[in-house]
Amino acid sequence: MNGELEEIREFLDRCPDLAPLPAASRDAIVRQLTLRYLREGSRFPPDAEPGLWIVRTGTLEIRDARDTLLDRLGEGDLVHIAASPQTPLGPVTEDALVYHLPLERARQLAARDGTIAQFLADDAPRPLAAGGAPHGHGDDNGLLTTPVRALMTPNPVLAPSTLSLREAARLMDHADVSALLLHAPDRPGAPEGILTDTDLRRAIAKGIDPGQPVAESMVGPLTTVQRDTPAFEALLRMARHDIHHLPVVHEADGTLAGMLSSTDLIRHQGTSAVYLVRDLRRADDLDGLKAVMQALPRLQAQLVDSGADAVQLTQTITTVIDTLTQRLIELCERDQGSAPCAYAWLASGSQGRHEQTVFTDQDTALILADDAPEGAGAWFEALARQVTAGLDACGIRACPGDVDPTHPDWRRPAADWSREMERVLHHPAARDAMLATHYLDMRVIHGDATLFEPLRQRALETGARHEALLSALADQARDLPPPLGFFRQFVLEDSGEHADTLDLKNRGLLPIVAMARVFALHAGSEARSTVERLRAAARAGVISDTTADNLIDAWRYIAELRARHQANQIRNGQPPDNALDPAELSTLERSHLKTAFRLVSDARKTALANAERVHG
Amino acid sequence: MVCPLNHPDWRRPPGHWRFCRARRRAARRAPPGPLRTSLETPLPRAGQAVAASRFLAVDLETTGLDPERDRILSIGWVAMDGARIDLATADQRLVRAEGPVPEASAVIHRITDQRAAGGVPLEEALDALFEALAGRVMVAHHAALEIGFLEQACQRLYGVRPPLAIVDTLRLAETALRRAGQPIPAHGLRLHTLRARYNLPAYRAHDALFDAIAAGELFAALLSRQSPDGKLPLGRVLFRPAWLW
Repeated sequence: MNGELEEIREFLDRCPDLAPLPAASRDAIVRQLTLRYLREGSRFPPDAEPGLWIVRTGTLEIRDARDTLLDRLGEGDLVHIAASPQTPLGPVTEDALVYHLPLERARQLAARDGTIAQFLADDAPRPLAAGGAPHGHGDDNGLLTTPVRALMTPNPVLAPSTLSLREAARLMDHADVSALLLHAPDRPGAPEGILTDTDLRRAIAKGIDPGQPVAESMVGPLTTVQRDTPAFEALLRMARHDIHHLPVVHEADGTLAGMLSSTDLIRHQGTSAVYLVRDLRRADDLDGLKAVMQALPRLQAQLVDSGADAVQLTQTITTVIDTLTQRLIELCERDQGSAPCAYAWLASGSQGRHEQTVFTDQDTALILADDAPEGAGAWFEALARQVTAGLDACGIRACPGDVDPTHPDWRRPAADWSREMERVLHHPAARDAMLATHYLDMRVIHGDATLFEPLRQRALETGARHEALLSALADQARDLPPPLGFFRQFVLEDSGEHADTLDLKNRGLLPIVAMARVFALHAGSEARSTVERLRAAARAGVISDTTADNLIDAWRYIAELRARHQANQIRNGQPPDNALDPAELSTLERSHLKTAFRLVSDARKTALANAERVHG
Repeated sequence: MVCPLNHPDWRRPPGHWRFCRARRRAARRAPPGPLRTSLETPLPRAGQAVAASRFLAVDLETTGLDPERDRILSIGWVAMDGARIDLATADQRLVRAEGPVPEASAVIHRITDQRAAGGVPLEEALDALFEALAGRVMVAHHAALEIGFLEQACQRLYGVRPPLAIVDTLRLAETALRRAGQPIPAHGLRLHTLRARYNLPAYRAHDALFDAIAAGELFAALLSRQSPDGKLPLGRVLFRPAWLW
């Protein structure tokens, strides 16, 4: 009979890094451990022995040959020491009792147990998905996983567009539907337009003769979704286009399969994005907008609960804030008369990248047509003031870095912008590299897109060919190292310092965002969002598929953690922020987050080093 | 026959020859089996470095403190190579009770009559212990208790009192504290108090196996201070009861 080593097994159960292993494997490991006592000041590992080391009590440091701190280990932390001659050595900083799985025994265990083999072989970090999704994804009712075919109404009412308006209204009343699909008389399978209750109301208000053909009042061409489109995407499409009915078509031949209405989505929860956008469009003054925006934090918490992933969540929030911005501009135009010339309202930063959460600030700019009449400046300055103040009043804080069009630097005629972008993209000195990142993330929120898009196209073309810019952006990315991990309840910075909280945006997401930007620029991609940029960079061969996948996984994981952190704050009635207390993390989350940091850190080493070789 | 401690003469501890003679005599009188094999297996030399010596940390749970009247309830052990404890060798035996377990000790050890009844006969438990002990020096906290009970049990079952080479972590700790000029508070030499002093974890379990591991860890901690390089001769840490040496 073997003695019970339960208490040591229980300790291993609490080690976050061992969490991916099944209990049986941890059982097997306990039986193969040796125990060592390491006195403060001695070198770790003792006798430079390779294998798996787990700290039971005490603390020790891992340092490389140049004495750079790589990690600090405390109770429950583990480290693989490779058999290579470049074994990292570090001092024991507090008397320590450590468990050691010697390399030989580890190999024997691995030969018998596949999961242990994989765990031990994985000196490289494991994919984040392997340890289980962070939350919510197991929810089969989530909008993320439900295809629209599960929610749509099949066999929607379809009629020829030659019908009179009165006949159409009678048909809708009879079938008790709020929307009627219409097809050209010669193509009965393919709807070309839609008539909704709202369209009928408008037609009557306009005094259109009810005997006229419905074709003149219907809306087309149609925005459609496919049967397998996730309900969430449909929701987003409704919100963006401000519509409430989406015809659903077969993937194969585009024929009509059903109709999805916002009511169908309401029944399925999580639709407030559609209503929030609608209410913003309907709000008539700043107070109205403020009242609607009160619901934004709740929307985010609800999206987190319904299992929306980070991309969907940030896109939805960005859509709402885009709408708010558009509505503020419309109200301003209503109040002070229409604009003296064509212009466009631009957003950079997270809004430009479609990556906003409720805790965000403004990064905006204005571009004016070059033919602005004399005195137009005052109109646009007033617009800038009113819209930025309005955003601020609605909870989107004014930019602390003064990136907003109340400053003349961010309010220029097109030709001026063109010169400025050329200057910055060709002479990326330190501050200019910061400007360059803003320019590369910029997106038209409202107004005449043709003023800005050609500028951006040119900027991307010159930027991709311009080594100085690429290396300036690479430098910038290099200046944003992720933390090493955690030590006890603190964040371990690469300087060896401990921080009480982790800034999920600045320390977690921005290092990935910065890398994605430089890779995408190198690839000549127009993409703005981090995930799309990384995919484009991988397609163009700038980075490996593995690097792209790892960085996307890391971005998604950290972004979801942030969304959930904020959702918790919202539910507790606290203002949301990006500062995460490591004590909030479960052991598994902690381990995943550390893995995410390591993925980012590894990508920095390989991919940025490559970028340097190519352009340095 | 070769002296069991087999060491260079100048490091020979006092009473050493007496100890060697006693082991030889006991080996001759012991019946064939693990006890005899263990007594015949050469022990690490007293002049050998502790880091190169082999140990077995042992703990007994008993019904009381008197070897004459009280019984062994369980025996736990774990092997140490130098200061390295090997959990692969961790083992324990519950001893089948011959009478009811007195209530007080059952509370401490959580060994109920039922569990004790599921154990093995004492002889089987001792055989397993002596098999593990062959060629190793025993490590125990407050070793007098272990020595007393093991000698008594062997006397009864095999007709011999085996002379055992022992490290007593309580005595080692006491010496270390006195040398450092540190006062020793009440209960300051108890296993869990000493362990806390050396930043060792508090084990919840109070069974023979975990107390054996606990004693082994304390020994490792004491060695790390007394001999960071592990070159201290084994003879310097051996426990020498007056009646033995």
